[in-house]
Amino acid sequence: MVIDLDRCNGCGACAVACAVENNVPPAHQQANTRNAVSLMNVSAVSNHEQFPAGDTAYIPMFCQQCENETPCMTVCPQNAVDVDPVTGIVGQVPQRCLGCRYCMTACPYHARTFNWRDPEWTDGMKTQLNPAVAPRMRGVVEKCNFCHGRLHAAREKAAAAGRNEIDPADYVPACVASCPTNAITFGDLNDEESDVHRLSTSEGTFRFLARLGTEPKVYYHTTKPWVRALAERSLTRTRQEELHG
Amino acid sequence: MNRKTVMPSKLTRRDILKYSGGTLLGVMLSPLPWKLLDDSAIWTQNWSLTPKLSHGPLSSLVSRCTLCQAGCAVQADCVGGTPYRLAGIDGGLCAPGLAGHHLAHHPLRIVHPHLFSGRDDMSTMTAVPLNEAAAVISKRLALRIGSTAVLDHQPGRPVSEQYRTFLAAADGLYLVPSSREEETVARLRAMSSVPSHDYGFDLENSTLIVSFGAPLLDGWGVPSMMQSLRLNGAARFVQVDCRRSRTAAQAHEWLPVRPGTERLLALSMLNVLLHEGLVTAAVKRNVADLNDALRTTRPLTPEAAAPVTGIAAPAVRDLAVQLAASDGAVVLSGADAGGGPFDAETQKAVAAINVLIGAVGHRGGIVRRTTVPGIPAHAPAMTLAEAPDRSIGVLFVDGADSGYAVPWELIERKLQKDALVVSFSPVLNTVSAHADVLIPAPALYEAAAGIPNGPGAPAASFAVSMPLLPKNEHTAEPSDVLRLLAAELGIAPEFPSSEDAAKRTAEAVYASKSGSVRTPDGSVTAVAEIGSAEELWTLFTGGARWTDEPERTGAMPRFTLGLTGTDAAAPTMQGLAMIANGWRGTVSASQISPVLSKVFQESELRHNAGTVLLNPLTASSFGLNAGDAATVSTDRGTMTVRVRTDAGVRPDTIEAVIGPLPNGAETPRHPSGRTMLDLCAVAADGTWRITPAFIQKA
Repeated sequence: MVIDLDRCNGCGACAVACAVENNVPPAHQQANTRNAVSLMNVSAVSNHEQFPAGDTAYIPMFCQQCENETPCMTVCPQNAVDVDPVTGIVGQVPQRCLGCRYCMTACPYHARTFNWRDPEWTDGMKTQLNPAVAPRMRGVVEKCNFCHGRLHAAREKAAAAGRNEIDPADYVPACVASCPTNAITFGDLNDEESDVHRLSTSEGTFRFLARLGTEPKVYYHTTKPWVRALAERSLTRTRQEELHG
Repeated sequence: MNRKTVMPSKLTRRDILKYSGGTLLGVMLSPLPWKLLDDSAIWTQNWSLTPKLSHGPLSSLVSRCTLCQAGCAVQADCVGGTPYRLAGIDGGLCAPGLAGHHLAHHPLRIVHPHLFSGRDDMSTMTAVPLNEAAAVISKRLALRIGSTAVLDHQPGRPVSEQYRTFLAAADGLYLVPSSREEETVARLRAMSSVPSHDYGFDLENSTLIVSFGAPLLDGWGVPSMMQSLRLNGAARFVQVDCRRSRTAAQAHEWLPVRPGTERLLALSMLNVLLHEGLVTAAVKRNVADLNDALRTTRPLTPEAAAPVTGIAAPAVRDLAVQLAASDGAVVLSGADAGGGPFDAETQKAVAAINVLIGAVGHRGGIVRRTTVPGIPAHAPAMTLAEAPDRSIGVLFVDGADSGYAVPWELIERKLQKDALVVSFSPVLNTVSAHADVLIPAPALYEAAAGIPNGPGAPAASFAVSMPLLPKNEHTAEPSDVLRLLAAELGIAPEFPSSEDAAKRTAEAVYASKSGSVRTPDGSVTAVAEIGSAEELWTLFTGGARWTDEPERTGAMPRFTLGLTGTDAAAPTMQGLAMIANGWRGTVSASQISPVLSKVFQESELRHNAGTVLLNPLTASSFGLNAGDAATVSTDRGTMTVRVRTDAGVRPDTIEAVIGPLPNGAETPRHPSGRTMLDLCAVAADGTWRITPAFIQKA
């Protein structure tokens, strides 16, 4: 996935579409940013320049689908994190999760959330839950899994048509479909003909915390140097990096 | 001696311990404990507190969202006939729209008519049958004390005509909100020698769009279309805004005008246009009060205005030149969703710029549009602010959402002492909570509705929203109420249901043989080629939108600009300037799905009600840090708020967020009993953009 931060206007449609698609419960009264249950979190960041020189960017942050030594999978004692060898999607199996939250500690992107409470919807809203996605109970961790329900539906459609491969048009995560500025591009990174591959290798494209070596499959693109500088800001340089650059 | 294994004659404690230990070790080496751990996780995740998902056939329906007048086409994926997911067709849906199907089940949803005893005392709401609620209204109408008025939040709909019919019999007032996308158009019509000419913004063909305060890129008009215009590069967006709003941040250029000086800035631009030879002779001929305009604007040069507005003279001059030179420039002013409209003089000055740059009747500017067949053309409606104070005896407040905040003080000012307020809102909100009688209309997607022109649309258009959810039997459409009240006024009860009214409009569109119909899949058919009215209705119920031909421009009307001068002096104020602001569709009288907490409460993307933003320098001067509780005081009262700091906020101002309450705190009033909107000083002209305020640590 590649997200164009210059196009993102922070409207929040992706976050809402994600919550509706994945039966993420609405906040309770005491909910805040620290105990939020939100698979897709859009943050506003600023360059901290004084008025009127300030600039703002909006960064959607969710599971970065780490390829290399997936941290959450490595630490999970329950095999509740499953990396699909075909798609590379890092899936979460809530039914296996015992809520130790070790994965949340391991995740460098704070992309995982914990259900501190049972989900609550009004009675009417319960009838409007997505039938393709099981609601999670309290005590389990959840995260973005690139709309697994939509992947399954695309696979079923392909199988019904006698195809092995899914049609990319049939598998579009909710955030991608809902973005009004087409800031999110999704597809097969290994397909060199695809837009997502082209964008992932274009100038101005970067990954957050790339130096950690987790090889995330989510790329971000911007022409603003100050936004790119945020990608490594929270990491202190190692001695080797200090010595050798 | 043969060794034999013999059972001990008696079991000792040591044996029991040995066997137990061995058993335990053996079990640990087996899969059993791990299986139990797995299974207990599964068992405990299927308890009764976890909701059971709906079952049933999967289907897909098409409708249109009526949260605002954009009327975006919607595909609703349904299970067992109940929508569980919405997606925009031919353009995205906004965040509130994506969860619009939840509103029928909002925690504050009202499904029965209610009477309130004591206008501000919500604890004494009594559910009553519709006839009883109507009887209370009839009784008050019969007294004929004060005018009868309707505040229509989405004018131009078929139901709006029903309101007008009712009011014509009652000699009442038809009112629209002061805050609306079309305020510049309304000003132009008022200036025009032919006020019956209706106009719209031809933004899709614009090359330069200058906005005074209108949140063009944050919920204005058709949001997906506006974003597309920004990104396709054909139009340059210039935002004139006293704060770094979302639109200002996304625009190609932002002019950070000082709060309250927008009118002076507009007049200084008019100075450049009028006094530096940038107005063509043809345009001058159409300005009835040109000499007055010249005289009024003469002293208000960009140089004289700069110290007050904070915008350097070269930038103003540059912009005026660009406006005059661009083929397809347009200037508009607009209300902030939470901060309300500009005053009339500022709106006039902005509208006047369009006249002088020749944008009126020009492609990419402000173009004439026809009216929707079956919906008569009307003169510009009176705004709530323009209604005489203390004149209204019975006020009906329409249940649709205008998306803009309406301070209760502004409404109350127009009411007589014992006025009766009737709300048709399907939810309790900051306006309906003040009503005496609440007769809830069907919620979003529960009833059919005709959708007229999109806000500021360049051509007359019409679409229909079909229901996706069953209507609650106790709700009542406005037409049902009007029918019940009609006898009191001696009028025949000709108030069709909203679906029938929409059908009649569709028939009128068919009969006009004008314009074309575009279906959600993008195919376009001329109305003249459609075989029957039924066929057209089928297209409408499938999500199609009818758009008329552009109005053939006749002779350009003459405009009387009516400009009045202003002192080129900075407005003085005690304390800090509190600038109310909000996000369209999420302020005060709006209700949003609880899952919008992902954008508000559970993230810092947007801010809940009771939040103020301060520049860090301003905050520290008051001993405040981010996250502190503070008290904000104005001459309207005091409130405790939460402080957030942002270097992008103008120093010495308080940005007061008019937004939704956190989930679970949903009463229409802030827990302290007031909302930030109640702290705003509503001026005599109905504006509340800037309020002097004081802040201190709580």
